[in-house]
Amino acid sequence: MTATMTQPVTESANERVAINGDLEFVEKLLGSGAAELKYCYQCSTCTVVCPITPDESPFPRKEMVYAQFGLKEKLVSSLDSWLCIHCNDCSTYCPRGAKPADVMNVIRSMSIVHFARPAFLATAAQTPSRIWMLFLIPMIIIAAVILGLVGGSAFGFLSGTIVFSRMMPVPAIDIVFLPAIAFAVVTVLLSIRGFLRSLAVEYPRTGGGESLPTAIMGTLLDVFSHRNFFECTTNKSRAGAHALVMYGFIGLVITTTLVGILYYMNQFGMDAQVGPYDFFHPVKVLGNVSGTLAFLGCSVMLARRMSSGKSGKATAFDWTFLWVLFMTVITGFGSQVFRVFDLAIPAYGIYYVHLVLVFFLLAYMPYTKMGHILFRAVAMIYARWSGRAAVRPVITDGQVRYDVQAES
Amino acid sequence: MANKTGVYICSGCEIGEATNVEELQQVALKEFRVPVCKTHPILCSEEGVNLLKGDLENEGLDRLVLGACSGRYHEDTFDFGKEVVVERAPLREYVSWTQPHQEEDTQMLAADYIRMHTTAVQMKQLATPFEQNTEEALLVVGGGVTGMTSALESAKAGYAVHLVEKEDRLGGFARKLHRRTPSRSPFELTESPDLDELIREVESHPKITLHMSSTIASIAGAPGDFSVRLNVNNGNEKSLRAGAVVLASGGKPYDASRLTHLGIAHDNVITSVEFEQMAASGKIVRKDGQEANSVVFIQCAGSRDPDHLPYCSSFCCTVSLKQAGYVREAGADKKAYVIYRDMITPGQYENFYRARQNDPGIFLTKGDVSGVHENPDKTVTVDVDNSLLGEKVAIAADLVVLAIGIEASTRDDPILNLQYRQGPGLPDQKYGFPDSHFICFPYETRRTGIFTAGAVHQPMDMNFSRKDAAGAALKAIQTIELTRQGKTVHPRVGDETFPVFRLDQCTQCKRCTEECPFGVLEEDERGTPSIQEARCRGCGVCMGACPVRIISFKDYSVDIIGDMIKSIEIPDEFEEKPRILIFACENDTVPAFDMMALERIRYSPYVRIIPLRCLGGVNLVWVSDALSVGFDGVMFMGCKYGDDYQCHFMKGSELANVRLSKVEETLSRLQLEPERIRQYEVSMNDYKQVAKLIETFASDIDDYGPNPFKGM
Amino acid sequence: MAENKGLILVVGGGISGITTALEAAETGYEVILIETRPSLGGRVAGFHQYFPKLCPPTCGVEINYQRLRRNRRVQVHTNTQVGEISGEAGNFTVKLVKSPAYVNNKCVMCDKCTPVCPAEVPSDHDYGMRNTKAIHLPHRMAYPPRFVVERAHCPSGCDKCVSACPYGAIDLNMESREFEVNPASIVMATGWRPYDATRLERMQFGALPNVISNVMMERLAATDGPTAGKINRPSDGKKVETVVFVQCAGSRDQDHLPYCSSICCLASLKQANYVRTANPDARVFIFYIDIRTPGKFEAFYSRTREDKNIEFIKGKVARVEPGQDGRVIVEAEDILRGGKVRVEVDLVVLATGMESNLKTQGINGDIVHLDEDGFASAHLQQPGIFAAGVAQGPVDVNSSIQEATGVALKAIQAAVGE
Repeated sequence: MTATMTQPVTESANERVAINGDLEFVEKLLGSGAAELKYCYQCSTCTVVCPITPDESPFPRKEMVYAQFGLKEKLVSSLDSWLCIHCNDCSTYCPRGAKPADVMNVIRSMSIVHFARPAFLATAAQTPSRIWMLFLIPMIIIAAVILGLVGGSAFGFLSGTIVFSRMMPVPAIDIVFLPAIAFAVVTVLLSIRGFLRSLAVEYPRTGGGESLPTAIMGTLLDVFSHRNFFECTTNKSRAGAHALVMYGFIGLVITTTLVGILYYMNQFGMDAQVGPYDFFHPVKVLGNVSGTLAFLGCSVMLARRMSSGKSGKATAFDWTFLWVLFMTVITGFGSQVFRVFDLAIPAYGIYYVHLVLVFFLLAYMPYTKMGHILFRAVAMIYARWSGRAAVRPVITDGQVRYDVQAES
Repeated sequence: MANKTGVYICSGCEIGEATNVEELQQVALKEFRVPVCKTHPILCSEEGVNLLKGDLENEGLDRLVLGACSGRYHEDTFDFGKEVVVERAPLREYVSWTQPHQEEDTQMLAADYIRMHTTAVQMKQLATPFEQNTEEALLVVGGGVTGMTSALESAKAGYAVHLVEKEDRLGGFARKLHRRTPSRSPFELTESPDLDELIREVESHPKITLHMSSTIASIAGAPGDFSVRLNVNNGNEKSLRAGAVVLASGGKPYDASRLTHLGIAHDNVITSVEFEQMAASGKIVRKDGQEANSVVFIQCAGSRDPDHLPYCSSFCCTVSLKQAGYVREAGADKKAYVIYRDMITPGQYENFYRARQNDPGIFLTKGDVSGVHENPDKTVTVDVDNSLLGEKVAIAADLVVLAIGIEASTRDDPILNLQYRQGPGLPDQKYGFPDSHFICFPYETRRTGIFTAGAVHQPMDMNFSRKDAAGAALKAIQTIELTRQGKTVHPRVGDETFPVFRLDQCTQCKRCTEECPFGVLEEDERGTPSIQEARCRGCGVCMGACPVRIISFKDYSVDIIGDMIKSIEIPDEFEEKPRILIFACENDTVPAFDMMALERIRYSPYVRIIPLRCLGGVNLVWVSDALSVGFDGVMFMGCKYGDDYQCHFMKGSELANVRLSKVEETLSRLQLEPERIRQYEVSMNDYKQVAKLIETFASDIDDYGPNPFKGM
Repeated sequence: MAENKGLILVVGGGISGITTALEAAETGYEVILIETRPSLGGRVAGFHQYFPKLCPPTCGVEINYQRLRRNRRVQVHTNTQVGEISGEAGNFTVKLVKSPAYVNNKCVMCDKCTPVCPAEVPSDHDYGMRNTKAIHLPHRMAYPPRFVVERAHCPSGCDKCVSACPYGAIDLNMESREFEVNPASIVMATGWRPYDATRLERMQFGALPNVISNVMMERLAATDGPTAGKINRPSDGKKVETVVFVQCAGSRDQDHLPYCSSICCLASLKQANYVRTANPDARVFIFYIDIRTPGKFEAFYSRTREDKNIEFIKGKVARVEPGQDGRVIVEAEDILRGGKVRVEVDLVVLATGMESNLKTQGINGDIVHLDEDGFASAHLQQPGIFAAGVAQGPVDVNSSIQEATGVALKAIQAAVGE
């Protein structure tokens, strides 16, 4: 009982699309945080209040009816669900209480999982009861490294001044994390390939599309300006919070990379200072500032999610990601603080946790909400490139005409 | 009886300022020699009324002309009992509020109204109710939920009921039901038809007599005195008397065999009725006996379709939502699709719709079904265009259910077999439903004392039928009560005057028996009419129809109106004061004139207005009367006619129109412009237009010049 | 006939209450009909025409008034409200409070008073679209036919009307009086009010003058209305060329009225016809979710659909914005086409739904029980208490009268005590 939009149809129905309501998938959607979706009676208030949907075949009204029929293929390869930034305006004004924003959110997680390879990891990431497995892997690996099994220095590091690289030297980190990242990159590319393939089927490129470079530039601009985010009316503060997290995260990535670079420069005899850096060292400053941003952003988001209300329903998928992100930042600071106060056990302990979390974030990108970074970026670029741009009808007195214009 | 008239002129409401009241008094005293004629500053005041009461006492008056306000005001103030005829000359509405004061024309106008109404009052006779031995029991035809409810509600009010059912058990269509749609808040859950409970109550009620396995052989007579003959299955006949009839014979499902375009011929395409019975039997299966895992419901199957039933059957949407639930109850993996055109769940049924939507296995979409095909494996594929899924889609299912609509059971069977000259059935309204034509009066009927309830009345579901059943029962009871007192029913409730025939002069032309909107009149073999008073509504259509003028009411007749016309003073042509006669329907046009007065809208002082019970009462002799006394033109103002007629007597204004069309050639033969006679459709809301109509007509009359018969 | 044991109290003098009262009285029962406003007639008194016949309500109201005038069994009390109710079927005790109209039955509607009255009052009957004097006739079909003073708006000490009245009909010191009745049964025919459109935050009602509600549209079309039947823009009186009807404005909405008000589709079809009759070039857009024209109303829908100047668009209007020179822009998705549309028009009519007066005003004591939608569903009521018309659920005039007639029988049953 799965919805196959392409299954052969009785010749009588010639070019018709066979619809087969996928009860299991509907129930899955209902169970994964879109419990009200069946209430939709297709008035399309959602589509009208959506600040960012294009005017031609807009969303989320059609996604709602696809969801009601459980048209999995259409949903998982939905470009529009990735253009939606869950601002929740639609859910706020839905006269039926069908919560379209939550439906779009669930669709996104479904499509991440759908395209993720190997599938079992994705399923694990999706099912709260199995998530622990994913944590187990880095815990073992990193523990192993520390225990000296992989170029570590056993427990010697516990004595003397606290220097994390004594417990987990940069090369050791690299041994663990570079493969992890490599794995993530490869699998993510697989996901994206699958995603792009189905996009090509569902949204063939039309006339008004932009060139690839322009599309990419435009998208980057959208992302860094959070332009669409700030269009949202009911859920404004989320835009700011998300910006904080995003920039904070980027900052942290840069910091980590710098640390690595400086380390190796130093290794190769260049004059580069290695950590631990003192408080006012630019790298440290960058790290702490970014950390603070991420911390603030996460806190706001968590707070809002917990107070639920306007921000829409958060699924296990959202929670895991948000908490991991938050704890990563917390443990980052924590280890620093305990180091400064020279408390070895807690300092190293927390640092260990920190490493596990970082591993989780990077390695499982394709299976967790972390994946949204890529899916969304790809979707936004594809939308511009394929010509999924807004059509603004020009109205004169009582007359409606549909004139295609580039989105302003 | 004595015939002593008093004329009273109120000088309030500017009548005193507008006219010379003394001169008006002189008209009554000199021209009519009335024994009493007085004036009073405020006739409707306590003193005014006491003056009248006193004179009725002391002077022994039995007829009053009140030159005051329109009869639509102070009707009760000036009610002095059945023994006193009160005639109202609306000097306020027709003179002081709509005419310039103290002018010759105004005075002439007022004087004429005194003349017209004094003439009328002297010719009127006291109304007397008809007498009839009235049967109190009701006849309810149909033992379904509607009929049983009508019977029970009447019995609970203390009335005996004969309940006739053609089958050998009660319940009707409801017996086929598995569950019924919600009838009570929160309107989310289906309910048991709880039929047994109702049947038990009906069977055990002492005031209800059941006539099972019986049909109506014939119904003759009139409200309060219907004689009913029943055919019983076992070949016997029964007869009984009834005071009024409620027809609750229900509807019949639309003949699905005609829905070939929806694949009714295929094995696994069935009707909603068949599906309901299937569900009741506990198994939802394909023809081959296999469980049906998916079912498609096609809405508006034959309804809202010019080739089949042009109307919406109004319950099919809720029924399919209910039945989709049956599919789901058969198993958690079962699927139900509903393809609708508009989801018609009005009122609180919306709650049911929302509740059903929330079932994950019920898939709903708007769409147009363009084809239904049988697949080799006997599954059925339904092609849907313009669906909300945005594409031309096809849905394959084990079973397809056509949500079929309903037709009135009277469509091809009169059922009541009335022994009426105008035929055995109830005059059909739209689409074969013998329904009222009036929004304000849903139980209005052209067969007095016979009312319809439930699905034979209008397309309606069981929940509303129960309410409708009570409504029809009340109207039936009411008819019995009014008939018992010898009074007319709606719209002239309580009227006690009825047409009287001078049969010695009857020419058996049969116009009256044909034209009566209510089938009041019967004919003997020679075609002589005979009246059943209890059927009569007093519109006077028969009076207008009669070419030899032998039909009249005690207070309303061809002669009375004729003499009113003749009582009007017509100046000769040299005075250049034309005269225009207006016949005005008292239900809509007369109030319109009162509205004009309220807004002080002026119009020509040359018009003279005569109110009629209904324009259908117009007798052509009045036209010749009017022309021969010298009127220059006649305006007939009555209700809208045609498909959306507003005439309270259904055909009155239309019949008037037919008759007037016949006058035309007579006029041209007399070298008179046919346009001197015109009919207008006037509704109360048009009161602002009426003055303009009069203006235009008057100026046209000026162009034609005076009526050559003036003063002949 | 079963011997008449008791009195029937009908609360509410709209079309349902009038019907229940008359049908019971003409069957031979004593009835007291009370109405809180100064005149009978209720909502239909403000309507221009009924669907689907497009006939004037006055036509039927007039017949009903005739019936009332000729029937000695109905006592009518206007300006009267229900106080405490106690007792049980067969023997209720009801306090009635009659507030003063300040005009007695000597009034002949001569209208000498309004010219001298200095106080202007926004007209309830016209939903504030015009002013009347503090002393005025409630409306053209007022019953009883008599003026009324809105005392609250009188300048202190002013008694110009009193001295202007030739008939001594005005008494500004009239006081409210209480009296008690003992009905055997009580029928709630308290009717409805249009849902407060200012609560529809995105619809700009009240903010943009050319966004009106459907009940206001009835007054615009009415010959005795504020524009004498001309359908013009409230903002500047310009003749209306283009109109949008917004269906389900507040109805079928979990945040407002969860139920369907069941009349709004037909009302808009009707009003679309008003617009087209008033201006043969006018264009009308009806934005809907489902067009609900059950039963024989379908014919009215298909007839209206034949008019090429009336366009039906499936999609709910979810945004309303000011447009060029007084016009209004509405936005919706044209769902069957699959794209957003914005239409700029002269006038936007919100098809607001019906809200039960029992819900908004309630009734003293724990005597009438309402369901979650605010209606007095029959199954919730104790014996002897009944509801008719919109008091028991959202229905149109025709169905209201059917129910009101049936309820008359129920009330009679209680009155005969069987």
